[in-house]
Amino acid sequence: MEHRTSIIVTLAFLCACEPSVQLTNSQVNLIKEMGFPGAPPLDPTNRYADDAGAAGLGHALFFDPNLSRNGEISCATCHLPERGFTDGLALNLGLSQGVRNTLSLLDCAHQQWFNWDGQFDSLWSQAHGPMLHPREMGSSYEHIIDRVRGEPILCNQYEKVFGLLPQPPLTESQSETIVANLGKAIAAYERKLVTGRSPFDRWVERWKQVGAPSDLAGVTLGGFSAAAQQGLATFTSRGECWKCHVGPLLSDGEFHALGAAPRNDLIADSARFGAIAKLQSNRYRSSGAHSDAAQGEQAKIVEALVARSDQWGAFRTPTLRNIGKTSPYFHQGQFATLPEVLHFYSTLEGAVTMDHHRESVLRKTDLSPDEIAGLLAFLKTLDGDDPPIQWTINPWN
Amino acid sequence: MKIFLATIALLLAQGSQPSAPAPAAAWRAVTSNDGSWIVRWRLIVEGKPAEVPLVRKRFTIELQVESKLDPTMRARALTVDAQMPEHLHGMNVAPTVALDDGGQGGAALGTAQGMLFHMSGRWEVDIDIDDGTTVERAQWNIALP
Repeated sequence: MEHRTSIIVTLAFLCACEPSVQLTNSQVNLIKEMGFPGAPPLDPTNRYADDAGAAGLGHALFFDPNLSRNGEISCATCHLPERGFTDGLALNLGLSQGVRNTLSLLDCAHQQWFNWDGQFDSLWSQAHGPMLHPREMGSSYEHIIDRVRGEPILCNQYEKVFGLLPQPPLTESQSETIVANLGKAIAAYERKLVTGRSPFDRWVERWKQVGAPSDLAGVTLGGFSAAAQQGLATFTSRGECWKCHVGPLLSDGEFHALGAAPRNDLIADSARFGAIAKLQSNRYRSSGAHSDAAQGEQAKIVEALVARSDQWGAFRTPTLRNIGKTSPYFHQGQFATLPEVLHFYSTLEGAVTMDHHRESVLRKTDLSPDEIAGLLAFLKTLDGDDPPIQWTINPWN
Repeated sequence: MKIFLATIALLLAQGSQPSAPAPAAAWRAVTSNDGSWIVRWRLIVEGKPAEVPLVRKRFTIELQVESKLDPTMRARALTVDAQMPEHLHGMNVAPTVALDDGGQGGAALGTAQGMLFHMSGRWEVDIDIDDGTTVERAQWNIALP
C-alpha cells in the first residue's frame, strides 16, 4: 500500500512539472547577449550629454507647454511618464493628427538612430523635430528662444550651462546655436530615462551565475516562470524573433519592412528610404556644425549613408524592453495588443508587399497556441523598474 | 658593420616571436565567377587585419586583383558592395574604393574603405572587376556573429 502511494505521488509530481527547456548552443549564445544593458553609451556629439545642469534644464523644457505654438503642448503631452513615455494612441496627436505612433523614450539613449525611420542620428538632434513640426508643437526658433529668455527659471538654467544668452537681434547662427543647446539639454534629460532590471534580466544574471546551462530545469527565479522559459526558447528558435530582436536592447537597431498594412487613408510611408536625405541635410546632424564630434565615427557613418530602394518602407526595430507599457504597437499602432502582434508574425495575415521592398527574413511561423502563450509570458518579463521618480515628475507643478 | 647589426636585429626579432603564431587574418583568395580573375582579400578592422568585421563598425577590405588568363590584363576599375541574401538588402553605406592598377607588373591593388555591416548574419561581398571592356564578379561570404 505504501509503495503504491509512493508511485502515485511520484506520478503526480511528474505531471505537475513543466517539461524542461533545452537550449542549443546558438540559443545559449543569443541569450548571453540579451541581459541588462547597463548605462547608455557616451554621446560624443553632445558635450553636455551627462551634464547635471543640462539635464535639469532639459527636464524643465520637456514639460513646458509654452514652447509650443499654442502654449498647450509639451514633449510630455505625447511622452507621458505614466504610460512608459508614450501616449497610448495609435497615431500621435499634437496640434493635429500625426501619421506615426509615438515611440517610448525609456532607454532611448542606447539607440543609434531615432524616430521610426532614423531621420535623426542623435538624441539632441531628434529633440528639435517635434518642437518645430507643424503637426506636433508647431513652434519656431524665435518662439522657443523668446520663451527661454522670458522665463527666469529657464533663462537662469540655460546661462549656468551654456553661458549668457546673446541679446537680440540674433543672427541666424546665434539662433541655431541656442536651439542646438536646448536640444542637447533635452537629450541630457532623456538620458536619465533609463529603466532598471527586468525580471528577465534578473533571471539571465542568475542563469549566468550557474554557468549558463543549456538545460534550464534547475534555473528558476521568481518573476520568470516556466512558461516564460518556454517563451524564451521559442523566441530564440522557431519564433525567429531573435533575427531582429537581439542584444541587450532586444533590437538590432536597424530598419526592416515587415509588411504591416498602413492604416486606412494613410499613404504608404517611404520610411528609411526617404529619411536618409532628411538626415544628411539636417543642420543638427552629427557631422554638422553644431555637433561636438563632427569628425567622429557616427558622423562618418552618416555622411556615407546611401538611400537604396530596398530601404523603402523599412522601419526601425523597436526595443522590446518595457513592451508591456508601450502599446499599441508598430509604426502606426496597427496592433493594440501583444497577442495581435504575435498573431501577425505567426500568420502574416493582412501583410502587404511594401512597393520596392520584400524582406524575405520574415515568414509565417505558424506558432501553436502554447508557443504564443509562452512568448507572451516571456514578453511580460521585459518591463524594467521605472526610471528614478525625480525624472518622471513635472517640475513646473 | 651595418649588415652585421641588421642580421643581429633580425635574429633578435625572430627570437622574440612566439614559436607558433596564431594564423591571424591571412590573405584569402577567390576566383571570379567566370574564372578569369583571382582576387586576394583581407579585412582591416580597427586598423588591424581581422577575420571578421564588427557589427556596425566601419572596416576596410584590402584587395589584390590579378588576371588568371593573361598577365597583361589589368583591372581598370573596381566596384565593391555587399548584400544580405536572406534579407534581400545590402549595406546602408557606400564604401570609398581606390585602385592602383599595378602598372606594368603585379596585381592591381585596391581598397574599399568605409564598409559597414549593420546587422549580424550572412553577408555576401561582391567585387566587380572592370577591365575596360567587360565586368566580371568575384564574391564570397562573411558570417557576422
